[in-house]
Amino acid sequence: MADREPADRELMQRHVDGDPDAFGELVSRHRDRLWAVALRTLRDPDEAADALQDALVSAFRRAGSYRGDAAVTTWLHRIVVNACLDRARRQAVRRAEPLPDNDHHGATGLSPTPRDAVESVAEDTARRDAVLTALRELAPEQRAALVLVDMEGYSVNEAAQILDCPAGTVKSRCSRGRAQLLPLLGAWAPGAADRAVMEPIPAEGRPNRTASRPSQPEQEVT
Amino acid sequence: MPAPYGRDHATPQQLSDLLEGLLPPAEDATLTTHLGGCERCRGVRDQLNDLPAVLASVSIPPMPTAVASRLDDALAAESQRRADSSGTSPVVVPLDSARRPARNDRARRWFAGVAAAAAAVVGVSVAGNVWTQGGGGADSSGAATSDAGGNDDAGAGAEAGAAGPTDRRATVPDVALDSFAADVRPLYDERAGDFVQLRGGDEARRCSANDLRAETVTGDVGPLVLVDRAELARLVATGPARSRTITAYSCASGEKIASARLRR
Repeated sequence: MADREPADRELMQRHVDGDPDAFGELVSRHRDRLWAVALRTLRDPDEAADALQDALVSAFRRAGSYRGDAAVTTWLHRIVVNACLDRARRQAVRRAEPLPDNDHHGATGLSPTPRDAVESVAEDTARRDAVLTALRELAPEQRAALVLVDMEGYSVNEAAQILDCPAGTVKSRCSRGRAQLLPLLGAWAPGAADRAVMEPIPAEGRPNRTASRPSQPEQEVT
Repeated sequence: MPAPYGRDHATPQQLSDLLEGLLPPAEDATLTTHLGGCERCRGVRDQLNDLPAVLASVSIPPMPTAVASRLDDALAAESQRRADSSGTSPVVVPLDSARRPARNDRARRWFAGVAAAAAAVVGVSVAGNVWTQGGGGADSSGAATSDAGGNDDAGAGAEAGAAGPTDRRATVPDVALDSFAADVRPLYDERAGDFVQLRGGDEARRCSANDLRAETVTGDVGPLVLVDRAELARLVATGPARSRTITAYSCASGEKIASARLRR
């Protein structure tokens, strides 16, 4: 990624100088990665596309405020992640009202039953669906941290820059997120296939959804 | 720490914190000892340890072409909008223009004055976002914009963009990211602890709280502003009276654009 930075900066400069195509070119260099972040954070493709568009139009307009103290991609990611978090929080508010169980089956239209997925492509898709569905149960901040660090492979420090919070906060969000995610993964949890029966997870390890929304305990650091 | 594990087992949270190195040393040591004799906790720890790999294995296909072309279209439209709004349109510069660095030479200032006067009678198209505002006297607008200064080509279109003789356009105060604090200060009356009442009560409703993130708009909602002549934003004031934080939230995305602290 670092080797792409000079070209990214040049595109940003050309954009600020009025080149009508520079920003589009910049976006197209990174769009798959930005898309992955948005889709992983929001799960729903329509929501992800909306969030991405909002974010990138906003980035287009605010490019003049880019100071160059972070990599261009970090800056882009930050805007995209923030747009996704905003949407995720609103999703969380909507989801506070009880939903029928089949709400969880929606995004990819696949059965959530992993055992039915025999072929490897189907299994990939089913696992993606299961993981993204489970992720949606987490507080948006924890979800975003896990998406960046565990799924996208950003270092804790890079994620901290993107999320605009201390590295320690990223670590604790990841730790908390993993602890909450594990029981939610059910048969997709690591090593679950080796176990005849999943042992119950102690109740205090489960997310307390009422307490975790809408104001997150981590927010004192922002 | 005695008996740290309820029901004789550590919670996934404790095990996860252990893996992440977040436990205080004493607790770390206790839990590590416990793990030596507890197969079940080791199992959960191993699962947590493998969890990032499971997450990393979730692959996302490339952006669908439909999304990519929609994005391209949106950015192309944005580009076009920027091209349209730069250079050729006269700008009626809003209330606080006098404090901004002069970008205009004397002739342009004069032209802009003409443009502003014209704006009081007929509509003048303004770069960026402006709204028609019904009714109202022409003189208040003229006074408010008499120090209009301009954008790159203030003179070119004093006659252009006329929207009709009865149609007066209201301007939204312009603020720049570079000088945000200085630009918003005059909009806020520190002694009264309130935003200065601006013209155009209608404007206040144009960017409703619905458009903004509910959780961000918890302060005193102030006027709309145009940030860097491109993005409409809502000002919100938060914090104690002697140290107010003024934040601009994008009307388009609800996102925070800039903020400044105003101290007494």
